[in-house]
Amino acid sequence: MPSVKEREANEDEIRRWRIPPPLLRDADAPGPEGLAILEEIRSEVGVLLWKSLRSVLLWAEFETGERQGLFDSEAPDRRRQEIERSIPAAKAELKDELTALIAAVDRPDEADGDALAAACERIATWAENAGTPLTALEFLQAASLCAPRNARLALDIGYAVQGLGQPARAESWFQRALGLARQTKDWEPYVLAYLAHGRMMTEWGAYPAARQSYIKAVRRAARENMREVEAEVYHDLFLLESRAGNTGRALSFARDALNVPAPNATRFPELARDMGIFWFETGQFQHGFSVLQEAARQIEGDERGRTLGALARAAGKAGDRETFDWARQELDRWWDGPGAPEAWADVARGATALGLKQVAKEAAARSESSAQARDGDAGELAADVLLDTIQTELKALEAVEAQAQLLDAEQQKAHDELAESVLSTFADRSGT
Amino acid sequence: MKPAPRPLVVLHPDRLLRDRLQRVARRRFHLTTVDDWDDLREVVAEAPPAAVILVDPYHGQEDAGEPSPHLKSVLKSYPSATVVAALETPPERYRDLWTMGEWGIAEILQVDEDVSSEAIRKRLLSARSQQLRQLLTHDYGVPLTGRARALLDAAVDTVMAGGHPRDLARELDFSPSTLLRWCQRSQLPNPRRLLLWMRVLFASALLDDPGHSVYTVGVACGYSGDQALRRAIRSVVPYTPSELREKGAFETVSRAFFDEVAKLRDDHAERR
Repeated sequence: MPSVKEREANEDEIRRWRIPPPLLRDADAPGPEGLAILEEIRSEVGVLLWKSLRSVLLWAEFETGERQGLFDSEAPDRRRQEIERSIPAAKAELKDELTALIAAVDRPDEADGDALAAACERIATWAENAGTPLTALEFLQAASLCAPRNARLALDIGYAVQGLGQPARAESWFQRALGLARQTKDWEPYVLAYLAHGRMMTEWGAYPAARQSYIKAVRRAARENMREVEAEVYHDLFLLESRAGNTGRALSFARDALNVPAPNATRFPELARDMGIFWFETGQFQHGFSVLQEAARQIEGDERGRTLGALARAAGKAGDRETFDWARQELDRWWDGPGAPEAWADVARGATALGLKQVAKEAAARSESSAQARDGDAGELAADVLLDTIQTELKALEAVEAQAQLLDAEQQKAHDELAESVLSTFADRSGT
Repeated sequence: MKPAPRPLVVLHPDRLLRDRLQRVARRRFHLTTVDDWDDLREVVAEAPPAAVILVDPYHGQEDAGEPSPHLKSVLKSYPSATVVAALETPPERYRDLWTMGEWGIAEILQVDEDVSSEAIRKRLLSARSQQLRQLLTHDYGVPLTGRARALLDAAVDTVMAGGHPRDLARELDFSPSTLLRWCQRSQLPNPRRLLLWMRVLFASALLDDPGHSVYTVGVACGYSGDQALRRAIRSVVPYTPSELREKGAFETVSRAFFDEVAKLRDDHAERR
């Protein structure tokens, strides 16, 4: 039981931090509330889910004490009979959850928001497993409205909406997660919501806002001893500063990311790969090449394609035909996932640097075809456009290289030491 | 500025439902009932686009097997009309519910469940704001943050209810100063101007319908008449209502609104 003082402090906190209203619907998809469910589940089960959702949303719109008489007195029995009649025995689990939601209709003033939220969350899990993501999202949102102090739930909805490609709506949920987390002092969702917000702002090119969010995330992560996340945020800060062209700050954040004593350091190879690309693009070709070689040995899964592409490009610039061929063959043999168009574009860049015109042409064509398969439009990765721009890029790289020669000894030392540190971490990880 | 009741045209035989609607309508809606689809068509053709049409989708169908083709025809002929279907929703009707969604109805009133005034009001209000919200989703190359989009949605609701900045603040559970700060941080016009824009946008959506006079549009938007509407329009775009009509009123005004939002945009802001 919290003391009066604690309660007052908590109320002050709630007053102080207003929580933005979340966007519950995609404004571009009008129509009856919850229609997405009927689009995904065209059956009697779909109608029951839809009706239950609408009852819960109506319930959540009112405060305790205002809910008396909100629903028809015969509605609970009717709903029970409909569930009994329409939900097949094989879906007993769903039947239980839908029955649990009748509490909102049956005793609106006594129904427990947390219990309703729990049932909604279980229905969302069921819907996710049934391959109906929009239904899952509708019920997650309903859960969040029934348990309006749950920051983790709001954060999960933000991720889910982001996955559906609705950035503004996702951002409104991240903001809500932030506000709730701050009120309830639930620091993990707080840090993760700031991280998600920072990434979104980075994508939009709003760098100062992104930086602000990352800094808040990293400070809280450090204070709460969330080492893995702290390292991840420093990694993102490094990417942000390198994108913004702030080389000194980028290096500093990369160093911070490496220095966080994260026990698993699961994202170290990706950090190293990004540092390799950064060195390559800032004229420190040798460092870039060495680090990318190590990263390509360790990175598997979705990130592998991008890493192999970057290595092929660096190998081309370094004149290392053997490594270039290896990276190209690996890409060809192993990988056909996200980032393929960009990876093949990098192979074309490496081939051009090596003077392999035919290989460059083939890689550019591959980049174009995989961009078309992914986006339906090759856009900037159209083969002939790409081959034209590569020539310009190579000239620009020469200028960058010349500039890198002008670094003073101290600046160069910072690069050298950091590269050495990355390579020795690779060596430690592989036990040599 | 006073809240103007919007027409609520009802084609539904259920007397109990009509009584409930009458109770809910009060100052928000001006209720008119019609007896058949032909009458409804006539009324819809003349009603301002701000009207909400509530229908029994099975009206005139002998066995209530499927929604009436007349409903489909009305929705097709008047795609900007805000139509709410009021019906019982047993699970067996899953095809009908989905079909009506496809046809473009704005909301469903479950006559067996949405019986309280609060429930009916919620359905009608949700339907009422959809048109303007949807029009505002058009991509003018000005990406809005989630916070800005939420403020915009709330502003649409406030304008639809004939509200003022203090009502917008109340809807968001903010103090007026918090609302002002949020508008600044979201890089939107201040609350007063935001509501002015939304009201003029609403008026311009109505102006695009050639069947309505400038006077009726002004009154529908809560102005005392055409002069007041002209002044409001002039304060955001340099055109008269007639000029706006010629240019495509909503397109012109919404472009001007997003131009103003683009000018307020600051990528160097530390807080978004």
